[in-house]
Amino acid sequence: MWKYTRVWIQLTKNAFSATLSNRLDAAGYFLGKLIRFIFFILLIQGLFRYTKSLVGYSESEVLLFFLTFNLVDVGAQAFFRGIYNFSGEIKRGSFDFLLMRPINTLFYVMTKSTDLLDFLFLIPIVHLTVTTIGRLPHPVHLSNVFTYVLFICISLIIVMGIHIFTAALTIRTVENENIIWLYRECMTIGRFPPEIFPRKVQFIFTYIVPVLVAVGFPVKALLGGVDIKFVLTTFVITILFFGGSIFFWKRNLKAYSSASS
Amino acid sequence: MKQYLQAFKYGVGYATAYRMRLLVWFLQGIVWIVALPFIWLTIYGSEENIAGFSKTLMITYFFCIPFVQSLTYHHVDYEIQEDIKNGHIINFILKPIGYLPYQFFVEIGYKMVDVIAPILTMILLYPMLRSFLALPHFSLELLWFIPVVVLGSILGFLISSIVGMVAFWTTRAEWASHLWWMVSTFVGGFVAPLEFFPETAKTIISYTPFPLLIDTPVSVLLGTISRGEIIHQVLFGGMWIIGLLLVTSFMYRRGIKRIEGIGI
Repeated sequence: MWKYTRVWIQLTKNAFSATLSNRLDAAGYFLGKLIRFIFFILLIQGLFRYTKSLVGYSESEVLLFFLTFNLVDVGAQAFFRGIYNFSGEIKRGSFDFLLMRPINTLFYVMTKSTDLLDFLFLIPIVHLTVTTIGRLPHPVHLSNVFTYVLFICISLIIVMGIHIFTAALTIRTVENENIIWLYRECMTIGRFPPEIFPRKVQFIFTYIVPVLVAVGFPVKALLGGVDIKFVLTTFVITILFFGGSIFFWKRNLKAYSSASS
Repeated sequence: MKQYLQAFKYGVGYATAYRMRLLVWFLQGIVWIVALPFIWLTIYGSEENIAGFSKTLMITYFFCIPFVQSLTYHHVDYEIQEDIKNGHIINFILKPIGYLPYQFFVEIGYKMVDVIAPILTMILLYPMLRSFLALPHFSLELLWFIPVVVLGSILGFLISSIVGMVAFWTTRAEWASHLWWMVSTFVGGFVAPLEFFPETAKTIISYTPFPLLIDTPVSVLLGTISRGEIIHQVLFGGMWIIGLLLVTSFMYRRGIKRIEGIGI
């Protein structure tokens, strides 16, 4: 455990140095993220010019869904940015060298590019989330807040599983950098309350690609819509999905054949 | 001209080389068409009309976006950035082929394949969404879609090229592509029709070429734009193309003078 912590700290230092070596690049990326974030908030506020509620949720509750999506999505990107560069490693043949290291390859691949900008971006997201929770129409109990935080941690595990699936698929196929972008498109579904979508769509994005579990369930937990069946369903989906992703990674890793290195 | 035809063939070949990528494009299109219309259906609720858009018109708007986007949005900025970073652009200085025209013809070839995925998506989803759609009947007015989308495609290519050529002046230029994508998804009409924007924002955006990327071509398809307005947009787009051609030409000439082929 201590060995992995030391490796993660060193990889993070390297990644942060690389990010800060080109400040214009970093500022441009950060500005792009901020613009998109602000535009979406303005869009949600604009939508509520035409309606008083969205499937029974108030403006602040819908905003909370969007902010929770950002917490999970940006948090996952901050830690697992390495997956976005993984296909390049395989094409260049440098993945072979990662396989020879005395450390879990999946851990190395996922954590080698910890994103400083996403960590910084989490600051306004967390601030806005806390502010929005304070503005909810009904008071929120402390126990619900703890449940919310617990569900966010579970969401990060689910999203980690999605990243592992894409990494495993990357090993099997060659031109596949847009697989991770398919995941990002699927997360579009998570920006809004699940009840917006028909039951079939909800089923797909709950049990097959559990995006709604990752984003919608924490908010429902905070708003008090949690019972034991809900909690058990979440745990079962998380365990099955994450376990499946690890199994899929190991199977695909066995099938890996290097082109050259 | 033969070399550009070859570039076109290369673009087609590159796009069809990997079937997994085609499948992922196809799935991406489905997610988009599925997500946003339901959000808007929920917003409409029992209302039939918001900001001049009926429910069916709004759904049809998002139904058409992947098709139009596949024609007007280009990702040549990444290619140009890679070629500048790797020094491959220097090959083009020595060859009897213009670099930007070469990239243009490669993109055209790529687009010929790129457009198949959204068309398949629309064919697949049409039976399920038929009752929500207000697709136009064929009329001569629809033919205006061709010059509008051609203009939009050329504008998209020129803007993407300008973004890519930022790499002549910076070590890494992915941030420019990222910023361009973030801004264009909103001001192009990707997330919502421009009619839903505040008046000040609409006025500012109307002076930019961005509406020609998504909003105007889709409006032509839907028949929600008058012929006079279409002609105005076409002329306006033509002026922007001339301006952007001058900018790309200037940037390319200045940028090529700066390039250093270290290690090539």
